[in-house]
Amino acid sequence: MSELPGNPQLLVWLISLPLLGALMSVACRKAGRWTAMTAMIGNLVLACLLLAATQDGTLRYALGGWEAPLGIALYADTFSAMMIAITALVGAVISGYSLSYFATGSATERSFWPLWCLLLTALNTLFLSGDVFNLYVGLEVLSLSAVALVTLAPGLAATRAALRYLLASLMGSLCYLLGVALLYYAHATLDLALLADLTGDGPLERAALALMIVGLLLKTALFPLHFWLPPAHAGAPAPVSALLSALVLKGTFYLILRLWFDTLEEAANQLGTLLLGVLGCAAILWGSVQAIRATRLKQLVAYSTVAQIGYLFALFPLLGHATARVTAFDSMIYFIMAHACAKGAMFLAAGNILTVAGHDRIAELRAANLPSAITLFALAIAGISLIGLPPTGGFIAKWLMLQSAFHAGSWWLVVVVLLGGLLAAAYVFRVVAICFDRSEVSAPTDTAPRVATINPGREWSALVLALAALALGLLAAPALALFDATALMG
Amino acid sequence: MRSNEDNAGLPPVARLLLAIGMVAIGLVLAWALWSHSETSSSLAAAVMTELPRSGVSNPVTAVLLNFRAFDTMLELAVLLLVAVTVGGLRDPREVSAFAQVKQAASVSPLLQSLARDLVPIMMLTSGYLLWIGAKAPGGAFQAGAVLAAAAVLAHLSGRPWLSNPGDWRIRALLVLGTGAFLVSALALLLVTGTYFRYPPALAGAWILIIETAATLSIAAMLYVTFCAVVPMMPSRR
Repeated sequence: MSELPGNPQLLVWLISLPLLGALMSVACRKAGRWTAMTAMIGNLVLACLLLAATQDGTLRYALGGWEAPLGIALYADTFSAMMIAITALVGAVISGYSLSYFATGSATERSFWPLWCLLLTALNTLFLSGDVFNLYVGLEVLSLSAVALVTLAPGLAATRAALRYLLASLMGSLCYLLGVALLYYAHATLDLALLADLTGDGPLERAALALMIVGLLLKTALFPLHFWLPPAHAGAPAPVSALLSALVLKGTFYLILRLWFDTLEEAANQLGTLLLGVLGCAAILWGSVQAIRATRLKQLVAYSTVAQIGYLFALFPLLGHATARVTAFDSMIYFIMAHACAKGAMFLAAGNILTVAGHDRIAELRAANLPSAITLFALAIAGISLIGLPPTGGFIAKWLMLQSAFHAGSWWLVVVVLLGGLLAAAYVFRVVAICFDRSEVSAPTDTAPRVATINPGREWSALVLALAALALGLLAAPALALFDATALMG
Repeated sequence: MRSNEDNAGLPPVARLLLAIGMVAIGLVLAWALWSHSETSSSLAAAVMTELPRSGVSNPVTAVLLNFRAFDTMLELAVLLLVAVTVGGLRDPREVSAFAQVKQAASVSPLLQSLARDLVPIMMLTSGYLLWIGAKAPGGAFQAGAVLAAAAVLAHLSGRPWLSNPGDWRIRALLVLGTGAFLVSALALLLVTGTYFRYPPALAGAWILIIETAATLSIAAMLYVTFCAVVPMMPSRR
C-alpha cells in the first residue's frame, strides 16, 4: 500500500472500494450507512490521488495480467481523473445529505446505500474502463441502479417514471450492444485503444458509431430523447434526483465524447457533429422554456437539466473545430463540473423545501413555509451558476464557450448561449422571488400550512455544493491547469 | 403532457412509418455488414493459445472466469442489484407473503411427490454442471439456475427453503458471489501483484472455488427475486 500514489493499482482500487462498500452494506444491514460512508470517503481520497497521479502521464492497468485483445485494460488520463474527482466530491456531499434524509433503519434507507455504492462502482468503471464490452456491463449496472434508486420514492407516479426510465435505458443499452457487436465482428477486438488504431471510416464503423451514440444519447437525455428524464428526476427522492442529474448523465456523456472524438474519430463526420450541436441548441431552448412553464419546483430543476445537457452538446461543433477546440474542451469540462455542483445543490435545496413546506408547488410557496436562509442561499448561488453569472463556475464555462465560439466564428452559437442565459435567469428568478414573497397563500390548500423542521446537516450539504460551484468560479486557473485537453485529441 | 395515451397505441399511419423506418435501418445495417469486405476474424485463436495457462480447458469458462473475470464480477453485481431491489432488503410485510405459501401447500399431492423426486436430482445436476464447467459447457450460471429452479419447485410444493427474506444467511448468500470475485481479485493482488492474475498452478482450484460460491449466490439471488415477485400465486384461488 505504501507505493500507492502514482501507481496504476489506484485504478483497480477505485472500482473495488465502492463495490466492497456495496457488499458490506448489504451484508451488515444495520451498519450499512457507515460502511457506505467509509467507502465514499475512501473513494474521495483515491480520486485525489488519481488526479495527482495523472498529472505525470496516463495510467494503464491490464486486469489479470492479460494484455489488450484478450483481457480488459483500465485506463486513466486527466479527463477521466477530473470526472472521477468531481463524482467523488459531489457524491460524498450527497451521501452526507442522505444520512439525515432517509429515516434510520427504514427499508428505503437499507436499499439506498447498496444501490448508491453500486452506482458509484458503475460510474468509476465507465470513467476508467478501456474496453467497449466492459463499458456495456458498466452501463447496465449504472442504469439498473439508477432505476432502482428512483423506485425508492413512494407512490405510483415514481414507479411509472422508473419503468419508463428502465425501458428507455434498456433500449439505449441494446443499441450500444449492437454497435459493440458490429465493431467486434469487423476488428476482433474490444479494446478502445486498439480500436482507435484499427477503425477507419467504412460503412460498418459508421453504423456501429451511430448505433452506440444513439443508444447513449437516449441515456443522456439529449432533446428530443429526454422524454423520460423530467418524471424520473422530479419524482425520485431528493438525494437520488441530485445523483441522477449531477452525475449519472455525465457518465454516459463522457462515453459519447470518448467514442466521438477519440476511439471512432474517423467514422464521426462533420454532419453528425453539426447535428448534435443543433440538437444541443434545441435542448437549451426547449428545456429552459419548459422550466419556465413548470408548476413544481423539482420539475423546474429537472427541465433545467435538459437545458444544461444541451450546452454540452452545443459545444460539439466547436470541439470539432481545428483551432477553437482547446478552449471548447476547457469549457466542456467546466460545464460538467459546474453543473454537477450547482444542480446537486439545487436538488438538495429543493428537497429541503419539499420537506419543510410539505409540497413543491411553486405558486403556493411563500417565505413563511420555507427552510432557513442556508438552503435559500444555496438555491440562489446554484441558480446564479446555472444562469452563468460571475463569479461562479457556470460563468467560466459560458465565458470559455463564447470565447471558443467567437474564435470559430459561430455566431449562431453565441446567440443561443446568450438566449439560454436569459431564459435560465427567468426560471431561476421565479424560484428566488419566492424567498422574498411575504404574502399569505390566497387559496387554502388541502392541508394547513405544515412547517416541519429539518436536520441542519441537510441544509449545510446543499450549501457546501453551492459553494463548490462558487469556488469553481474563483479558482478557474488552478482547476483548468489540472486538465490537459490535448490528451483527448489523440 | 405528451403521452398519457400510451396504452391506446399509435395510430396506424405512425405504425406504418415506424415499420418503414425500422426496415430501412435494418437494410442499412445489412448493407454495412455486407460491404465489409475484409475477412472477419475473432479472438478465438488468441483464447485457444492462452487456454493452457488459464487453469481450465473449456474456453468459455476461461474467458468468463480468467481472461475477462472483471466483466463477470460486474455481471454478478447486476444480479445482486436486482435481488436487493426486488427482495433482499424489503420490509417484514413481505414475510407474510412467504407464509402464505405454506398454508396453500395442501394444493396438490402430485406436485408434492414431483418435488420430492425432482429436487434432489436437480441439486445433483446442479453440482454436475458446476464441476463439468471446467472442461465442457456448464458452469456457475447454469448450475445456479438449476439450483434456483429446485428451490422454486420446493417453494411451490409448500416447502419453502427460506422463511424470512431478511435473514442474515440469505444476505450472506446474496453477496457471496460478487464477494468471492472481489475478495479473490484483491487477494490475488497481494499474492501475485496483479488484480485477478491467478498463479498458474492453482488457477483451476481457485476458479472452482469462485464458481462454487457464484453458483450458490446466483441460486439465492434468483430465488429471492422469485419469492419477491410470485409468492401470491398459489393462494390466489
